[in-house]
Amino acid sequence: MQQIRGWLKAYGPAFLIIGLFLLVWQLYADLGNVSPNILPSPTRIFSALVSSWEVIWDNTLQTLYETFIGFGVALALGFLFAAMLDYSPLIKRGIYPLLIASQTIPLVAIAPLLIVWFGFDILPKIIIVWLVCFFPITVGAVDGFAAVDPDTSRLFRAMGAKRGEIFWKLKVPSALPSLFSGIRIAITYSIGGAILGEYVGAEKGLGRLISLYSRSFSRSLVFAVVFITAILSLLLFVGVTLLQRRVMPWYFEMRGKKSGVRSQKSE
Amino acid sequence: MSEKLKIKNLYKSYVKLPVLQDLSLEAAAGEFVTLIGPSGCGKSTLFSILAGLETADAGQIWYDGQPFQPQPGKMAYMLQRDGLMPWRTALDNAILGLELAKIPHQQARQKALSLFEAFGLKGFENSYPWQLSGGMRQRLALLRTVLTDKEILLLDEPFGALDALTRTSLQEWLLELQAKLRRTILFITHDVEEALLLSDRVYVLSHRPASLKTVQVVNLPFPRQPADPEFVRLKSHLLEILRPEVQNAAD
Repeated sequence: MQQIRGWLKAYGPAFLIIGLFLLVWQLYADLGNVSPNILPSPTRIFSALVSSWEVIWDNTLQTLYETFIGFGVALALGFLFAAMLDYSPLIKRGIYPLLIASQTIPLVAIAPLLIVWFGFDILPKIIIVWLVCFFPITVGAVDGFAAVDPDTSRLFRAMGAKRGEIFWKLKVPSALPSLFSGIRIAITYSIGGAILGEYVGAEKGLGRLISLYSRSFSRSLVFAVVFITAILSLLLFVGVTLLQRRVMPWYFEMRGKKSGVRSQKSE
Repeated sequence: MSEKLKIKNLYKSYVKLPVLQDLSLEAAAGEFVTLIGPSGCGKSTLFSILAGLETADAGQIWYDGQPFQPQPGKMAYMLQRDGLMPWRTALDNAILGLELAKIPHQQARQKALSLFEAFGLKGFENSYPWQLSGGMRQRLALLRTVLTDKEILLLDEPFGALDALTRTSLQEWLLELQAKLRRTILFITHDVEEALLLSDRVYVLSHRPASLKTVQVVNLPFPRQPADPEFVRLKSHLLEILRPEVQNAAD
């Protein structure tokens, strides 16, 4: 009972807002005499989703597959890259500005080129997901490594710790909160990246479906795919948050306690 | 008492800023030696050099009568900020030094556990640092320092950030502990009363560049009383010597 009440308190407002939004949308579409080709109502979208479920699900798996590979590569390379930047201030000064500048390149411009270079297969999609995820993960890790407590670092060195020991025993654990912030941003954008890659040119995937349905004026189905995309991003975000709670329970306990103390004081 | 550590004519400067100038001091085995001086006078630089984190420009150091080149891992070093890692329990924080010295985990934990009671941390082995009070955190940091089993402890204002009451109780506790451990302690403070309460010998340092102003041997019996006439006399004597230095530091 207590738990149910906690859940209601935590997630109730979000569901309420979404419910209200859908209700207003439904009423507007039904009573406002809006053509389904302009704006389909939620119930129309839902029945489109159910009727095309098998096709949508099949393509969802494809998109998820590309997302996971691209994200995994970005995580591994981002961590490695951040460790390199942390290891050498010279590399950091040289490369960090380039990394930031690379983020100003519009992906819509790059995506068609990638198709030209690497074909219709999944490689260009993985590259786009990687491009989207790499930056927040790297920045999160770099900031995390840089935020290590200087006194603890001195202590490690005074105790004769090697560079590798300082890295794994001190820098990596202290970088985790910041790294996870980067991962949460990256995972939220990753699905969008995969869909962009598919939209530009693919044989399969949610992006391919959006492109197909748009051209055939199946508005309800476009919205159905968009709905699935939103759900997937949300689920991935929640998954990362749950993973973070497993990896660093101390962080959440500490924050919980500190905010508890603060609210007591303010009362 | 045999001489444990001797430092002679030590010099250190950063670019053009001299920090240590012709600094000499010594500590006997088991002696509690305090360095006192204005804030930012270079006391901490001396500890950095002894801990092997920085090198002196000139000067000699002897350890047990042998010429000594400081390097990391030879002396136990404790800073004012406890530097405890929030992702480790009290026990796992305590064994850091042993872990880095490649002592097997089980053995390190056993050794640490045997000292938790003496450090007033019994029952908190599995607590995280943020669950401990300021005084407990500082005792834990000291436990981590003591556990490294070095003969010389460098304590850089270990009680500087604590409130007055906690500080007093930790001072008393440290004296009891030292009566048992008998390590050679170099202790930095800028509190004259703390220096007189704890030390066998007090070195008064000048404003930067730190050089020796005076040495005061404290022969009062433990536990010392701040209201004792001799204590009061020594305190005002040391404050008199420090006053112009603190003024220099403020200018």
